[in-house]
Amino acid sequence: MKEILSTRLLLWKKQWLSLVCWLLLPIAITIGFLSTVETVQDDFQVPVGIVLEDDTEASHALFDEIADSPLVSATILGETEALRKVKQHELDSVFVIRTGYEEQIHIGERRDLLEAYYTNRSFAYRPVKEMIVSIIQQETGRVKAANAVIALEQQLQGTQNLTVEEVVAKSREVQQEQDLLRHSFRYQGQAQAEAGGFIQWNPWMVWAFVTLLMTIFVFDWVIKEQKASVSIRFPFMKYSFTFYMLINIAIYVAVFFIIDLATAGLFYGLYQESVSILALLTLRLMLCLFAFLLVSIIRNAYFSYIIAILWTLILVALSGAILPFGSTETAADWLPYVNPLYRFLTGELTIGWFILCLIGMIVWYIREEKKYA
Amino acid sequence: MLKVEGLQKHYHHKKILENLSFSAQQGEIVGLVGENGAGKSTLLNILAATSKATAGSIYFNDWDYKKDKSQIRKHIGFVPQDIAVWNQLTVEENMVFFEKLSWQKKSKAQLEKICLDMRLDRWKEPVKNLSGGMQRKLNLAISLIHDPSLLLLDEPTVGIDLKSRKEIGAYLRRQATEGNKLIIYTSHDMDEIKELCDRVLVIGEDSFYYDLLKEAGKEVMVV
Repeated sequence: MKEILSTRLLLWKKQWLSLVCWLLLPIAITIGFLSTVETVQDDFQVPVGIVLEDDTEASHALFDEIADSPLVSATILGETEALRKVKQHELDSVFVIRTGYEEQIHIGERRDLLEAYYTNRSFAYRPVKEMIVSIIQQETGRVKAANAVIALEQQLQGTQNLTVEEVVAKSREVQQEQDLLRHSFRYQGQAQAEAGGFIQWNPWMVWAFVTLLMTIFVFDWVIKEQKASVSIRFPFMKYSFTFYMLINIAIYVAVFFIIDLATAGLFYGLYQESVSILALLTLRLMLCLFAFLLVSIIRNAYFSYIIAILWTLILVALSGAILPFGSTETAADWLPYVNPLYRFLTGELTIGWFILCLIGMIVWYIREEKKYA
Repeated sequence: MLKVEGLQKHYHHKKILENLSFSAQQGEIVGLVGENGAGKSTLLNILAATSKATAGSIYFNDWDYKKDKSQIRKHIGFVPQDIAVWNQLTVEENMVFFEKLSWQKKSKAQLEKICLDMRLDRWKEPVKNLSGGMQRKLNLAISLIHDPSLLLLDEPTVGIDLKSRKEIGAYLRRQATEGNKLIIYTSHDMDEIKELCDRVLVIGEDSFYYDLLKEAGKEVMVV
């Protein structure tokens, strides 16, 4: 085994730079992707000024709802400053919550609650206005519904003596519980990762897809060495070609895993995201065996690159990042079986796919040993 | 000693080799000639224990090819027609690579000596920068690392210059006599066969090679 390691080092010596690049690319892509997404998300927030003429609980609740939107960066300002900023285009628009807002909401009156200021360069004024209007409509609707419930209770001589606030609070609770818009593209079951509107990209999630692709790319050595004329020499050597290949797979697993551990340390330092070492190990074993079997079947480097890219894109799509397949109940049943990364993404050990790949390896080993016997 | 008795090889009902028998001793260089498709490479692969005969028996130093294949392979040096080396590695790295996987341990000095003995002196040169003749020499040198007693060469000098061909020929002669190796050699070059081989095995029914070699005073076996 030591001899096979020496031969691998001899071959790596000639291609160490490209090997290091391929090994580190998943880390680089993950960090690059996350910082790009962060920048884009920051840039995508519309700066809006809110003037609270009505300094009540309801007006503050409205401000909080506006500020919760990931698309809007809302700031409470005085009217003079807000108007100056909108004139200087520092703010996209300004919304003044007029005096008496809370009272009017309670009586279900929706007219003249807000005053808005914008310029000819306020590109996001209309969507932000629509968003605020819909929040107000929701609030007035909720109060109306509460009043109807209380009236009904009194009519039916109920004993609960509900208040408007209690009904409104219950209504909010029910809305949260029965939220139908769930997205399943999550890492380790991160609850409501997308609750803010943007997907909360976990570094391990991004890394898993990139490393799947890169592992298949790196494993093109199998095709090169199976095709190489030197394989004809192996029947006369101490080790069979199959054994030589097996040990080399083990060497690649070890190198990849060392990089994976370094990645774990790096991601913890950068994003405070931890990962189970055992989950990482089972994923790495599975990925290397999977990549080996895939390239052994395809036997053509360029074709294997294309298959790897397509396969990764399909998995990304199935996971719900691009198309919301993963969010449907039907998809959820079969997704774990077709996605080799699913277990890792849910924080579990990649056992099923690993066993499947192991069986594939045994079949490959028996066939190859027969061929060279 | 190599002993072949009643050897047959059929591929899907097509008879490639039919009832072939011969024997050869250590220290001999046996040429293997015949037309294209006569079965020279097939015979060489069977002798190399990488392909099975349909019928017949082969013995090498009392080892039976049917029972002792792995033992026999340890003593075979096979020089393929294609140059089976790592192009991106140097001569030294190629020798070290195959020595690591070889049955016999050799020092770098011993490996370099094998190369120098056949006038392959560009030890630190990447293979891709070597001439065809030098690459052929390396192809041969790698097959000799484990000091085999049966050396099988499939057209080892094809496409190289006369000087390299002569150097390889002289080296093989020394290996046969001084190293007491049995060398079986295929080639289309009759001059080379006449000059180098002690005996010649003609495969096929064509009398062309037989007449040619008999005229040159060679011992010819027609099988």
